[in-house]
Amino acid sequence: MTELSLNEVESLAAKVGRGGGFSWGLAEEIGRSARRLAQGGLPWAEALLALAEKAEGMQAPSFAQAEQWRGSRMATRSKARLCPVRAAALLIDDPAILRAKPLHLASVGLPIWIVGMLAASTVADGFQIAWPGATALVGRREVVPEGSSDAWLAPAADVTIAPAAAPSTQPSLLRRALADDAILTALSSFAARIYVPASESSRAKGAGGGNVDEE
Amino acid sequence: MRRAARERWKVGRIKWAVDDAGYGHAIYGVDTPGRTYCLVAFSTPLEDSRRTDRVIAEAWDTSYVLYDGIPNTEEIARLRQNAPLQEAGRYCARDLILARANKSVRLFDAVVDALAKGEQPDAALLASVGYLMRTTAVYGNGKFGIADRAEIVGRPELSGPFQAEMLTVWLIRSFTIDLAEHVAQRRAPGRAARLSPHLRRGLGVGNATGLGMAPFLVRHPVLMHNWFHARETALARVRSQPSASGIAQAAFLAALAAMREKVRTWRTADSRQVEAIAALAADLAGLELNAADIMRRAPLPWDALYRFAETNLSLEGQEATIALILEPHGELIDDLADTLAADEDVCFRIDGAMTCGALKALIMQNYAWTRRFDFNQETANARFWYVSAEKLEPRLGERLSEPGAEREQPLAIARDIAALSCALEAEPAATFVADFLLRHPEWRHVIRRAQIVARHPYAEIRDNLIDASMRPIDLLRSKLAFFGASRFDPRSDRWLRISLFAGEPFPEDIVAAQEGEGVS
Repeated sequence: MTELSLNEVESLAAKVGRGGGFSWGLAEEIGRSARRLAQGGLPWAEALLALAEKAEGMQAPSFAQAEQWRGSRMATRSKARLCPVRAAALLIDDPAILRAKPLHLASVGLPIWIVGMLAASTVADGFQIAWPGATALVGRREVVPEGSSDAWLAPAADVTIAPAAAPSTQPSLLRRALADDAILTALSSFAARIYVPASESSRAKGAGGGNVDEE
Repeated sequence: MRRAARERWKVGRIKWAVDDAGYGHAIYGVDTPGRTYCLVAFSTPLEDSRRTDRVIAEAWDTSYVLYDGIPNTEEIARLRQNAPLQEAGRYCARDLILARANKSVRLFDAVVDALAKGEQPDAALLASVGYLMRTTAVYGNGKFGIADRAEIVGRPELSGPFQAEMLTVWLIRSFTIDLAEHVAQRRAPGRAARLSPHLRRGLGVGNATGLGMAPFLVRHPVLMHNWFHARETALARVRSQPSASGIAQAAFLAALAAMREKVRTWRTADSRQVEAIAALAADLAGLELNAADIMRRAPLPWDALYRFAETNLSLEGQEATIALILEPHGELIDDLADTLAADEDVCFRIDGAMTCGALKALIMQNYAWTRRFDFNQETANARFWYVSAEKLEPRLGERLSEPGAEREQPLAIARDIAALSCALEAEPAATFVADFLLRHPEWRHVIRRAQIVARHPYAEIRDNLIDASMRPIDLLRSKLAFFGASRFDPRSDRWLRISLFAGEPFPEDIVAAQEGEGVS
């Protein structure tokens, strides 16, 4: 296991998000989400690797789905799993969807990212996010998992998001993160997709000329 | 330094385990009212061929950690194993800042030689370099496992942006001089001289800075806004003063004379900067000649000085004038230091209820400056910013001749705003941004930025950061200026050297001032 600073978690997750195919803006949000998950003691590294590996197979909410959420709030089931990052991004951008009644989202891939994304959004005072086996209270800048559960890494689930009071007591957030070394290695290979391999030209010019100190 | 004096910080060397050749470790303790911090410094042998200022280096003369508390033997052993490795080491939450510095070999050796002979080093030589060592990186905020900024942001003594980094560099300055004096003493025990207070005071710490700082400026728009807003506010307050007291005028003239003295010692091989320094020297002479007269006649004397600079001086001279007229006005403007910090999270959420029409209007209003660029021109789209796989550091590539443009970092704000504007042309004005982003997540970071900039007018660097003629060092300089950097010495268009703390008090000077001896 390696201990990481939360800034390392955020920075790595943003790179992995981009390396996994998300836009730069969503990658920024994935970074902040991973930090919130880590602070809440949730398995951020495993969740991040699963997201990078499965991102391509998940789909964004359709405009029709978005309209349904705004209106009927009935679950709409589609063939592919709903991308949790794209779905949560819509809920952050249009928080009115969440304000009144509970929202039911069907077949959400890696629902833990709904938790992370809403926790990183400062979108409202509090939500309770639940799927079979897992419940989390999300405040303006924190995640409070209720009870322990191995359902956090569920590959897919139907998710309910309901307005809730902010956590009544200040949760004790973790200040450092832990990650399994094998998972970190796998994450690093996704992050590396945004790097440009060095060439003689880039070594010579990319960071400026000059070499040995002559003074 | 103001806080250190006000709060009567106690700063002193608490461990010195350095051998005759100058290798070993030392610890400097800083007692603040709330906490104790330590600079743990390591000095290790380095072959001349491996000494480079650039980020590609793998070994350094000295390495440093600003430690939270006082390290015990085990912690010192841990730091000794890791700090000299810098990026290749791992660190923990007690390690607040990680840094390294290389000797300015020519000057370090000359100073040691002179002191060992019982003499003072040549003042002109000292002034021509200005420092015994140069830092080549000062890392904070969680890098390589060190403490997150969140760990220290609630501590008044370190809450300001880069305060912990600057404290580290201030302490490194003391170590560099102590090390030179130590080596001289060991070489000639009982006969070696100590550096005279005047020469000592003139030495700063060098710093070599490269491209890494440029993306930082783009990625922290609220912080940049706060810095420039504070500076503009300070300037506005001073310019609106209806009078200039004799004390303030004297302080201004003293600061001007000191700056003229400093500028005389600045050296660079960069031809453009040589001209700029010459123009600055002439400007300062002109300012000195005219200042009293300008101020005597004007209803707003400081404003008159500013206007004189704006009309008559080079850009360097104008900026120097601003620094000089702020100098005597600490009581009027020092409170603005508390406005420099920024919480970028507060502005992070996108307002998806904004319509695309409103977004377009906002872009028209705040990004009119981007319309002067034609991104169909090769020169306007000539470069791309990327992160190198080798060192995980930002670099700048040539779009047409180097591979990797498909992995470009999102730093070409002007180009991206122009492209977003085109994309918005096809959208009905009533479409909500939330719905636009549902279809076009690729614009998410650009829209976020446009909304942030609407509330933070100084957030944006109003230039094309991928233009063929763009000089990254100009970006670096703007940030370094906020650290009080002087002696701007471009080494290419992508990295430069500067000096910090030259002429400023040492920790012991502040203690002496508290004890009524006066700061020398």
